[in-house]
Amino acid sequence: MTGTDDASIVAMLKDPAQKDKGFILLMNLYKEPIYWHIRRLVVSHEDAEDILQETFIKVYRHSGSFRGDSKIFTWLYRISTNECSYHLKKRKNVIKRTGQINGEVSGELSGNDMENSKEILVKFQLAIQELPRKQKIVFNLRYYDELSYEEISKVMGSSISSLKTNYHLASEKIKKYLIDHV
Amino acid sequence: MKETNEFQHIGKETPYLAPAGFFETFPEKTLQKAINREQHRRKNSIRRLILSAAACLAFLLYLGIHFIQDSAPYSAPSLADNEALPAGKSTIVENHEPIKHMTDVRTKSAQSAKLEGKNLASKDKTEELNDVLSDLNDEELQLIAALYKTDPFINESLQ
Repeated sequence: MTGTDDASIVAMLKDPAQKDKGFILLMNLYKEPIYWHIRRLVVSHEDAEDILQETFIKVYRHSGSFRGDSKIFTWLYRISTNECSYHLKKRKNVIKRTGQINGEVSGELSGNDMENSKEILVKFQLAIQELPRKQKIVFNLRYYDELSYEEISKVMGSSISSLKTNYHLASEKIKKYLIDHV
Repeated sequence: MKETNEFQHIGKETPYLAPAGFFETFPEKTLQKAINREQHRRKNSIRRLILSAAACLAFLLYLGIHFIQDSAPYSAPSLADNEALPAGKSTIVENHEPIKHMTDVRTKSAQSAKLEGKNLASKDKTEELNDVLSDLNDEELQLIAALYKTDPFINESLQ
């Protein structure tokens, strides 16, 4: 996430002759952190792939309007987080309608991906999936992506104090879940 | 970062795995999709522009036709027409009912006169003429009689 790389990529994205090249460079630089951020939130690979693709397509479309006030990775995190929020809301509605309670998530976690994983990692992810949407996003951005509260504030558009409260509540709930289930 | 160390015994690993080769093929696939989407969007915006222009044109045409239809059967008399007439004789008529009635009667009588002319040309059709005349009421018959008296082509004595 180097500043100079970001500046040259933004310049390339704004130049129609170099737009595609700049786009490929951008994807090579950020596809993995953004993918894992999305994957941790939505769990399924298929959903994560769709959201990641949608995120980069939006960047391609709106690259001309990127003013450079914030860092490009903050912009990418913001778009992908919004897409995830939308997806989670949609899924919550489906779960409400069909009456499934986290079965979908548990199924994903106990699938083929889980063969070589430790049980505690699965429990930890299940605890995170139990969190309310906002706490889940704050916890993931802080714990896994190691973003500062200032950066998370730019991504989510929330105040730092509210983010700190959300993170604290999330970690308390996770601890309680682990005590109850391990 | 002190607070993020509270789950040190778990670490930052996740139980998720990405399919093999996913990250290698992703950029090319996404670029292609982004280009296609952009082209599609441009085509759609051009199509929308053409459609909205056509809709505007159709609306203007409709308005034009509507106004022409509205203004064609009725031509309001101008102020100049009224001034040209003697005082007290205005062409602006408040009640249209008598005019309509007169027009109907004249039309009927003109039609029957036409019919009458045709029937006179043929002696064999005298009975038909009688039938037509019997269908007419007194007022219509009077009008026909008046026409007969004043029309030089029908009334030979005037010629």
